[in-house]
Amino acid sequence: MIGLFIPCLVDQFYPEVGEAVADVLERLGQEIDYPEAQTCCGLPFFNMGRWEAARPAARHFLNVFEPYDAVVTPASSCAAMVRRFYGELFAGEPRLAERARALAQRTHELASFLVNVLHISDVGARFRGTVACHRSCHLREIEARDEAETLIRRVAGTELVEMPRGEVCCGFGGAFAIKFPILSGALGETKCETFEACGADVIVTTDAGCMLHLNGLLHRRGSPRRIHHLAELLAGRLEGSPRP
Amino acid sequence: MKPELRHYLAELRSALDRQPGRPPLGQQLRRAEEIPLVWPSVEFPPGRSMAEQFEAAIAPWGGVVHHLASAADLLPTLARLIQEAGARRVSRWRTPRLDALHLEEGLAPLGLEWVMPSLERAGELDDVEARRRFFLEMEGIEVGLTDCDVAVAHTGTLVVRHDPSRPAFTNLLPWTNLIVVNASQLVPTLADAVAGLARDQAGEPWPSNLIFNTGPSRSGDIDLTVGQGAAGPGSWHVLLVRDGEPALAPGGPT
Amino acid sequence: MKAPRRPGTGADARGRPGGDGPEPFEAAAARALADPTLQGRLRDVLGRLQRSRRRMIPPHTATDDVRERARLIRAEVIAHLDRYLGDFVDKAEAHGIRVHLARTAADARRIVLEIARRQGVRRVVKGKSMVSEECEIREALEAEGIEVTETDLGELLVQLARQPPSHLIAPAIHMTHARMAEVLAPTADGAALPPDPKVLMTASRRWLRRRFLQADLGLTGANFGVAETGGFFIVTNEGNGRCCGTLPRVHVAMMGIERVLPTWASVPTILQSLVRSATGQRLSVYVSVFHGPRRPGELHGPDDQHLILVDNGRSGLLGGEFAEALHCIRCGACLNACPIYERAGGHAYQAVYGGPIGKVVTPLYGRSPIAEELPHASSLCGACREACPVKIDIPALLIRLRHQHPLPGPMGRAEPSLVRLAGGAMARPRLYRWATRLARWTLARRALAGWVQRGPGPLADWTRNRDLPVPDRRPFRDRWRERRRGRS
Repeated sequence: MIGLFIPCLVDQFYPEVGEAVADVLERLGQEIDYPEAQTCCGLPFFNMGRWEAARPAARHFLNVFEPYDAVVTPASSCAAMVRRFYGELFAGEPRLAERARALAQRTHELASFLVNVLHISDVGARFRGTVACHRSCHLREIEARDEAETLIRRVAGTELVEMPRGEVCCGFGGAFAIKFPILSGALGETKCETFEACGADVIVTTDAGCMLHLNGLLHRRGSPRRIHHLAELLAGRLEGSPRP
Repeated sequence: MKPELRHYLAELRSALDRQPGRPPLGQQLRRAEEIPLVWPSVEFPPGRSMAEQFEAAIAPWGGVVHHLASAADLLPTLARLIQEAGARRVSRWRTPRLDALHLEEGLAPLGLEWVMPSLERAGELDDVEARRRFFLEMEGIEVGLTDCDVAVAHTGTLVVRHDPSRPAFTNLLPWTNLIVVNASQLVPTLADAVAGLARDQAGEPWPSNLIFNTGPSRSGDIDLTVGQGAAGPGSWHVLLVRDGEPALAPGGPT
Repeated sequence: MKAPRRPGTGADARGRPGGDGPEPFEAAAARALADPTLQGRLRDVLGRLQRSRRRMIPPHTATDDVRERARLIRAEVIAHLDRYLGDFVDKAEAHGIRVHLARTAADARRIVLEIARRQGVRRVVKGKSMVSEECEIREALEAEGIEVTETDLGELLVQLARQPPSHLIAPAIHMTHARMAEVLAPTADGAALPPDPKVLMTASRRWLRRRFLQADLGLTGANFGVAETGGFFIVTNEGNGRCCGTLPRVHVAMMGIERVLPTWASVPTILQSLVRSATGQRLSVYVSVFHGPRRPGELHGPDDQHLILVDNGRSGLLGGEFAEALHCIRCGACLNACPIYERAGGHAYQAVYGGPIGKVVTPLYGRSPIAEELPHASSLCGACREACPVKIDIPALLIRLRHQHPLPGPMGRAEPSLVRLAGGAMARPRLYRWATRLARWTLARRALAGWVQRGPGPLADWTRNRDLPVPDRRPFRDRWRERRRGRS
């Protein structure tokens, strides 16, 4: 039984992404559940250096998700938090650290779960058009750089377009986006220009933070383009070509 | 070592001793040595001779390599290069390899002025003004003829130890540096060269001045262009005599 | 043993006293952002360096192992620095190198001035050396009426132009050939110079050569000292380090205490990792290795060779959670890779050490009027960690620093308590749900067609340049329930 971890940003701003994740996993015959008691993995507090605030969230996460065989999340940042940073967070508490280590091994970002655990790269999706992928930074932490592109290539009717500087940060960075809005915006603007230049019909990514930030910039500058989540492409929830 | 430094090191030691779980001395170094270093085959393609490898490595960085079939080809090539440089004042190292070429006789038709300060002049460097005048005099040299200890095929590097018979100004001050290298001096990688150097030096004091030189002096990006010769030779030629070339051992762990 | 924090001093681009006065990181970066020429240049140069590095060290390949080897070597040295530094000093002194210890920047200045006075030095030629910037050596020499000439070509040009360097690696990156011609004209006895690269190179060479031969003392950094033999080496492409250490009669090299390597066998790994990561070459043009002053009969080399070991706060990191910062080999690869550095340029950091590693070491033992801000000025993207030839986990160090150095200002002060409240809410699902509903209600009130353009409180900084969507009326939890209901 898979426990779905739908992080705060997805739950609140992009619930359709959560639905897309559920669609994809169910279509592949996976048994999924959504434990309603879930809240937050603690990453924002961890990144701020406020570990005393991250720990309650992380402890709660362990309690909620331990019963499951696997935890799947559409957020590479949350997956990174659990897989890589929970160990550091609980460094002084061996029992919690052990629990975290055990759960980390079965917590996966969606693309990584499909490709590396289920060993599936063709999920039966179809989409007519060209797709480019913005690589969220936290993919570096979980060593899952190519899985999203692997999945995109196997979407029938789709052509994967190279995105120049596809791995460069979009500028979201969590609290960074409000603490340093000008720099955050500058990085994001460059990304938006790359999107236009690469000529893809659709841009997808694996993190809702990137989506919130980039879509916010695009909307402000009057562009009709939106960044979508990989799960939406795989679930067939993208209608045609959203380009003007 | 001054007592102040000894005391300081003791302070460092107590700070380090406080660190929990510190790996014992040498352990991480040994682990490092166990990791094999494999350079991509595109950098060191099998089937390419070390001489070709050397040239391929240095050519993109402005170094010119002349492949000579034998030592007999050295004189005519040196003559041509000196003439191309429009040079009159030249200097060379007094090493056995260069002595054996009888360059002063062989290049006599060029009417060159050989600037070869005798070793007795070393005393001039003791005095401030005399030192300045000495180097100003050496500044007039247009072409420096030198050789090297070892040549590294992978990187296009020459390992050069300086000493009284191999003064540093000869490959530092002139615009043109012509370096005579025998292919038998080639080793595959930098690690090989350094290992050989350490072996040669074993126990002896190291030379006061030793360089790993990979091509002509190069300046990065003014207005996004590259310049040569700001603080060293701008024109750098290796005359590579290809007899006695060792068997190829490309790539190889370092 | 944490280094004491120094108060802000009001500093120029290199963190030196004076200048225009301090300003927040973003304000400084904003000025760089508004300069399209600088932005274009930074993008071109850094883009090229990034591509070179990726070509030279393709990630996750066998070649990447050179970084793991390099990491272990540096970790070994720092973990046993007392031992390796001790061996280095003994061997260096056996080769005739005069080794000095400077615990602080003031000590370093004192030692250099003593040497200069004793030797009757009037003119100095100087190679690029971060540690000499850190200790403000040039200023100290000039205050004594000693003339100091920068010999790295880019540094020379900005020195002649009386400008601060615009970038660590390419200080004259903003200069065109036309500007270079203007700046060099006084050195060519006032004659006007054409903006021709070859002519300008000849003029630079001539000027530098004059200075090298007139100098009494060559002042350089030292990339590394090798404990096995006590020698140290300088890595350059121009050869100016070699000139500084070979032509003048006195050579003073300055080196951070952490810049030791154990053996000559370890040198190729470090060198090749460094150069490949920093400039995309297999090796730099010159690695100049020094083992003491000139020997009897030698027609080159200084009569006196000094090495000043500089602590200046470094030892405070040993044995602690930030010791990894001492692994740094000052290659600049993290600067090349950082998307923020690419925009902000060097000045914005208002410190000697900028860029990713600068954001770590400046609050720890550096100086900057904005030191407290620096660990926060990062999106933690990790590009620096991937680029680092010794695999320093810079994002992890930044996060730890954020804990110790709260962001200055009212938001920073309030943050710990606010965040603790929020963290507590995260352990209580009902409270979390209630808070999200409140947030949705707050934002919906300010929204137009589903988007907020003027956010409340801290979100006002989000909406300065972006819109914020109103949270969905049907969050995922509701949809899940419907989904389940629809099944049964």
